Parts: sequence; C-alpha cells; structure tokens
Amino acid sequence: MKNSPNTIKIESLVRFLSYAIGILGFISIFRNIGITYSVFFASLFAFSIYFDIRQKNPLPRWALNIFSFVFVVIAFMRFTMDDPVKPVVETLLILLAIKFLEKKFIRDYMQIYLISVLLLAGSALLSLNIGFAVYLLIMMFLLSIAIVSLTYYSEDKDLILKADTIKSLILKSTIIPAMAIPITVILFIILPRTSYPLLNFLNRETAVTGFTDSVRLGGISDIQIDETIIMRIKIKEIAPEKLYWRGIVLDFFDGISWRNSGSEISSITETLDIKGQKIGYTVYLEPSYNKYLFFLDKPHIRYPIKLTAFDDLTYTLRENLNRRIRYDAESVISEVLPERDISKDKYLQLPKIRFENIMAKVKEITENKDEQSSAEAILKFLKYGDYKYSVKNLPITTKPLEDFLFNYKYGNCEYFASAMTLMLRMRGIPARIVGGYKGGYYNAMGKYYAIPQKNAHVWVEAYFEKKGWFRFDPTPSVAADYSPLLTGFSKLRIILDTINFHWNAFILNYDFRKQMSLLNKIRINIQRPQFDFAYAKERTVQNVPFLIGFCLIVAFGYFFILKRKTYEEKIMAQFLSMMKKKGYEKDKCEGLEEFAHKIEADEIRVKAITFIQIFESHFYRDKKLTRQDYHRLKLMLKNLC
Amino acid sequence: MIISGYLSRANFAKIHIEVEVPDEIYANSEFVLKLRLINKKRFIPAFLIRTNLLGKEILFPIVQRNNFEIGYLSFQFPRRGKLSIEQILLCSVFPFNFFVKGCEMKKDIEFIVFPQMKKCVHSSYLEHDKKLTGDRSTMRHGFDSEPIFIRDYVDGDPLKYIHWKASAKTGKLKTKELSSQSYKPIIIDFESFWIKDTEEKISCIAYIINSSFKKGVSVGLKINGEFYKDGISRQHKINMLKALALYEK
Repeated sequence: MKNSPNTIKIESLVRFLSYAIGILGFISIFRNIGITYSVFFASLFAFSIYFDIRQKNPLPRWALNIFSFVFVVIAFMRFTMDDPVKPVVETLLILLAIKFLEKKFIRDYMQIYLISVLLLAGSALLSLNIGFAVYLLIMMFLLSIAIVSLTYYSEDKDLILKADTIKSLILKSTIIPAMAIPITVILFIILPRTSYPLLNFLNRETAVTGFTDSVRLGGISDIQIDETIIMRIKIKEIAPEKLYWRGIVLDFFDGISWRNSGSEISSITETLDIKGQKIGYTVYLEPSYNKYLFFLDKPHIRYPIKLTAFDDLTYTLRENLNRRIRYDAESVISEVLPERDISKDKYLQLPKIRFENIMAKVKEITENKDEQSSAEAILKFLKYGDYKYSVKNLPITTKPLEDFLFNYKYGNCEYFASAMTLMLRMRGIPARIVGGYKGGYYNAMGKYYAIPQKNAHVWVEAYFEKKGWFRFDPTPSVAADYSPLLTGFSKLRIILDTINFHWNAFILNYDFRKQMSLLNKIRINIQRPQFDFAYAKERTVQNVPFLIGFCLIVAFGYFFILKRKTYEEKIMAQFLSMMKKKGYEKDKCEGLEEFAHKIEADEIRVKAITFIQIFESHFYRDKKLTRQDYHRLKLMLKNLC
Repeated sequence: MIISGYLSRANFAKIHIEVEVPDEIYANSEFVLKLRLINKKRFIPAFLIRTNLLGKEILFPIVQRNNFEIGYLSFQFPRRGKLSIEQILLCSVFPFNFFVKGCEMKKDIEFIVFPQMKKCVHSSYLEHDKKLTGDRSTMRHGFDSEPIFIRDYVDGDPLKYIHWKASAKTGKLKTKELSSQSYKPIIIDFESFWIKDTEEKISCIAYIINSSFKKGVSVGLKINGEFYKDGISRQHKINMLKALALYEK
C-alpha cells in the first residue's frame, strides 16, 4: 500500500509520540539540571531524529549499552544521600538520549516512556509547582496515545493507517486518562488524606467521652456498654490478665469524684529499671477528644511524637485528639513500678468528708497486718467478698462509696478501685487510681488487639516503701469479660474490622506532608555538584560491593524475571527451531497452519499440524499452557524428530 | 490495569463476523474467503481485532461504530471433500498490549472442496466425439458455423469473420454473425471411465465437466448409482462436481 498524503505509517506515529514524550520529560527538568546535560541531551536528541529520518543507526547497540553503563557508574559515584535526586535525573536524561539513538524496538519505546515519566517524577522532587500538574496531565494523555499506537505497531510494524483512523485512535485513547485521572485522584490523593474510615458503619456514631481529668463515680458506666473501638494495637498475643492499657493517673478524691492534681512532668532521662517481658507495638488510636494516650502497662521508653511525659508513666498530647493517630511504643509487662521517692502526702490525701464506717472497716480488716498484707486483705475483701460487679443502677448518691460498701454492695470498677484506694490511704499506704482499658480481643487475622470502649477500666496502684508501686485490681474479674470470645456475626465484624484496620494503617503510615517537607529540605540542600576525583574514587572503592550487588540484582531480574519466557513462548521457539533444522523456516507473516501445510514430508506435516492444533486450542482461547500441557507438547516435539 | 481490562472487554462488545464462501472451490487452487467484521457499537469503534480462521490471520485495525470492514483470506486446500468452519477466533491486544483478549465466535459453515481439475487424455474426447457424431447447428450465436445475419463491424471482431463482399457493397465494414455449433451431449459413466486411479479419474472427469460447461456442451454423469441427466446449467455442473467431491468421503 502506497503511503499517500492521507495516510500515516504507524511507525512514524510511534516515533513522533516518543519524541514528544521525551521532550516533555526533558522540559520538565530543564530548569533544574546543569546546562552541560541539557546541551548534551539536545545534541544527541537532534542526532537521533536525523538518523531516524535517514533510517540509520550511528552506533551498535552494544556500544550504546557500554555508554549507558558508564553513565550509570558515574551517577553512582556522584550519588549522596544529601543530594540524591539531581544526579539521578541527569543520568536518566543521558540514558534517554542514548535510548533515542538506538534502533528502537517495542521495548525501547517502552523504556523511553518509562525514563520520561521518571524524569517528570524527578522534576516534582526538584521543584514542585503548578507546572508539574500541567506536565503530568499532558504526559498522561501523550502516554495513552503512545502506548495504544505502540500496541498497533506491535501487531503490524508496516501498518499504514488513514488520517481518519489516526484521529479516531487519538480521540479514543484520550478516554483512558480521562477515566484514569478520576480513579487515581480518588485512590491516591483524596482517600489517603482523609481520616474517614472506609467502613465507618462499623463504628457507632456516638460522641466519645472517654477519660477526662476527673472521673466521677459511675461516670464511665456509659462507656462500659459502648462497643465502639477506641484503639487497635498491632502486637503479638499476650495473656489476657496482663493486658492493662495505662492512660491516666488520678490521685485526688473529693468524696464523689477523682481527679488528677497535676502529675509531675517526667524528669527521667534514662529508661526505668523495670523487670519483665519487654514488648514493642504500634497503637492506632481513634479520636478520643482528650489528651491521653494509652500504653501497655508499663511503658518503657520516651516517645518521639509531640507529647508530655509524666513521672507516673502517663503521657498526654498537647491538644485534644480529634483525629486518628498512630504511635510506636515499647512496654515492660510488669505489675510493679519501681520508684524511690514519691510525694507521700499527695497519695495519702483523703476527702474532707469523714467516712467513719469505712475507717472502721479498714481497721477491722487490716488490724495487726503490715502494709503489704493490709493491701492484700483489702483486695480480698473487695474482690472476693460480698461485692458484685454491675454497670446498671449504680449508687450515684452524695456518699457513693459508703452506699456501695454498706448498702448496694455492687458497682463497677470505679467503685471497687475507689474503695480500695481510699481504704489503702486510710491504712496509711500511698495509693492512686490508674485509668485506661483492660483486655481487648485479639484479631488473629490482622494480628492486633481491638479495644472497645466498654473495656474502659480503673485499677489501683499502691506504694510500698523501697519497693515501688504495685498494681491491684479489686474489681471481680469474673464479672467483667474483657476478652470476649467472638462467634457468628462477630466473626464477620472481625473480618470487616481487619480491613478497616489495614486501611487506617495505610492512611496513617502515608504522611505526605512529612515526605514533602523532607524532600523540600533535600531540595534546599542541593548544591551544584563539584566533581572531586579523589572523593569519587574513595566512594567508588567503598561502594564497589554494593555496585556489584546492584548489578547482580539487575542481571538476575533481567534474566530470570523479564527474560523468563512463558511456556507458550518456549514451546513455540523449540518447535520453530526444530523445523528450521529440518529445513522448514516459517515466514514472519505466515500463519502457523499455513506454514505446517507447506511441509513436504507427509509424516512431519501431519505431526506438525496436530502439534499446532493443540497449541492453538490453548493459545487462541486465551488459556495459559500448564506445566502438564507444556510437557505434553514437548513430548510431541520429541516424536517429531 | 483495571482500565486496560475494561477497555479490552468493551472492545469486543457487539462484534459480529460473517464469512462469505465462494460457490466453487477446487482442491489445490487458491481461493479467497471474504470476512466481514461488523461493529454494532453505537459510540465507539472496535480497535485492532485479529481474526483467526482455519489457521490464517487477518488484522482489522479499526472498525468504526455501526459499521463494518471487509478482509480477505486466501486458502488452498490439498484435497477434495467437505470442510466446515465451526469457529472463528478473534483476539486483540488493545489497548496496551498487556493482555491478549480472546473471543470465540461459533459458526456453522459447511462447504465442499471440488476435485482438482486435471487435463487428461480424455479431454480430447470432445473433439474426437464431435467428429464422430457430426456438427449440429443451433440458433445460438457463435463463430462456428453458417452465417445467420450480417451486422456492422465492432472493434475486436476477428478479421476472418468480416464479410468482405457486403463491406465492399456498403462501403462499411460488415461482420458475419454465425451460428454456434452444439455438440452431442456427453454422458460420463464413472464406473466404466477408463482411468483406474480413483483420484485421477475424478480429477479428469471434473475437468471434462468444467470444460464442457464452458463450451456449452451438455454433460451428464452416472456416479455411485445416481444419474445426473445431461444439462448445461451452472447448478447442474455444481451438483455433478459435488457428487465427485464427495465420492467415497
């Protein structure tokens, strides 16, 4: 078919589009690279257009590959962590120019597109402005048209299309980015920046109260029937009785409510000498609208996020938490917190109201007992005595503790813990209330603990001279199920919660602002590179093992992944090679069956046709050859010999 | 990838293919199958569809919406007999060459490959036969026999048919219109035909039938207990060739 004025050869279109894409990649980084590189690229690019028109190749591929390799080595020598982007971009530009000089096959065009896109990405790292968005948009449209044209080219290299067909092709190719851009925007830009969970319906739309600076007796009972997940902790499974999630310490009791009188800001710079199992974990905390962070009792290290650490091993944010956050932590699982000096007065404070009945009871229980035995006795009295656990109809009166101990005889953890703390203090043992969560259900699928609001809990810490703080939990453990077994519908919830968890984790790990500020810092620090031969030599020597490793990885990837042939390709190559040996060579444009029918020797022809029919029955039905099919065909080939 | 998959799937929507088989296909003679790829999509063209028919491929770069494209595939079958097209395979790497989307169109097309025509000694049979039986003039136009009438010369008329006498009289070139000769009908008896080798015999008879038809000689055939009475129609010829093609098949 003659190439008339109204027709275009597909190869010309593909070439033209690759020039356009290459130039766009170059323009995007033009301002940020050295003039030498720009001139070098422009010259090679002009040469390649000239040679393309003349249909000649100035240098063999191997020579160009050596050049490319040399440039990669030079880039490697110039590479530093302080200035990582510019040398990479400049090298990519030279590689692009060399690619243009090569005789271009389909994979070379694909490489040109890839390098151009990398250049554009590099431009965003060097200077991010609105121009990038424009370049990106143009690049997306050009790439779509180019790849579709390349697909045509791959089908028939000599294809000549009418101008109308080209027009239709270009117009329809623009549908692809038109569809891709909104999807991309939704998936990669909007969603990672919203803290809205995908499966929000799992969480009830209730205002989360949680813990505040003061806890009124009976105040968290509402929370204790709320199944909303307050946090998820990525951690290995731990025995349920060890799961105390520490959040707040309350030391001042006015007779009705507990509050924090002001913990000392931590002055400890070294890690505490706590004995026990050390464990690291990541907490994904839902918006709680207070400042408290929760850690597995006892948190062991100081944390890099902006928070205030207190001596009582609690941590607060500077502002109320109104978004989902994540933080990494480490704890030592222990019931004891060794501490030598404490303000005893603070932890022996008693309300002004006299609790004569309670006082009498304390005397009765702890008579003739030392401090530790007294604490054990009080614990026994509350935990294993006549008292029952309940979250309903709690004694919310003017003397709630007395009512709890002598009238109602039931209450939730607040009543038990308050009673014990008060009784300890009456006995002269410094004590405080610790608030947080207990237990949680372990999601084996996602390998994390989910802690619902209803697991809100308070317990007691008592201080013994020269020993430190000991944890006591006077709430009857059988009453409150903090680590429920999940069945039926709950299992479905676990699956959905796992998806939710991973989604949240993905978003919270995706801190774009932080990345950009880091990159900006890099950009500011970028200096014009000065080539110091001695330094380069030193770095090269240092980096030789890495370079060799890198080359090996690239070679491995190339030969074992990219070059790895499919069963179809392998068997067909073997068949054609065998036929060639027998003197029958398949023409490029010849159909397989057509080729087979031409074979003169009857026996070979019949076998070849059978082989091809079986091969085609897979290939044209879009069925992949299995290992068995491959071996079956291979056996047939053997019989062909 | 999602978009590529979606477009690849959409590309095959509302695609139909029709095949046109010629009436006469002879073994070992090249012939052409006509493929019509129809795109019934209302809004978008069909791109880059490769069809595979009996192992031969043809690429349709584009078929505009509500439109069709025609492609031709040439074939040559070595043996006579019945052949069928049960399926046509369509595949496309559109849009990104990431996947090959394939689609199988079921078809039920049967056609018969007539025997290869081989000029044999018996082809002189016609002349020999004619001499034996004598000529018979008909009123059909031809250049064989007696003049029927004289007409004006038309470019291309052989010189030997110019009626010189009439031309001289009228001052204009005149051509003699002669009657064509008809031959005595030939009846071929397959069983008693003198060639022994079946395939050779079939090829020779096919040649005789064809060449007789071209000359307007009425031919009949006795084969496999069936008798095709002599005739000169095209359908008659095709029926006889079919009988030959399917002999012992």
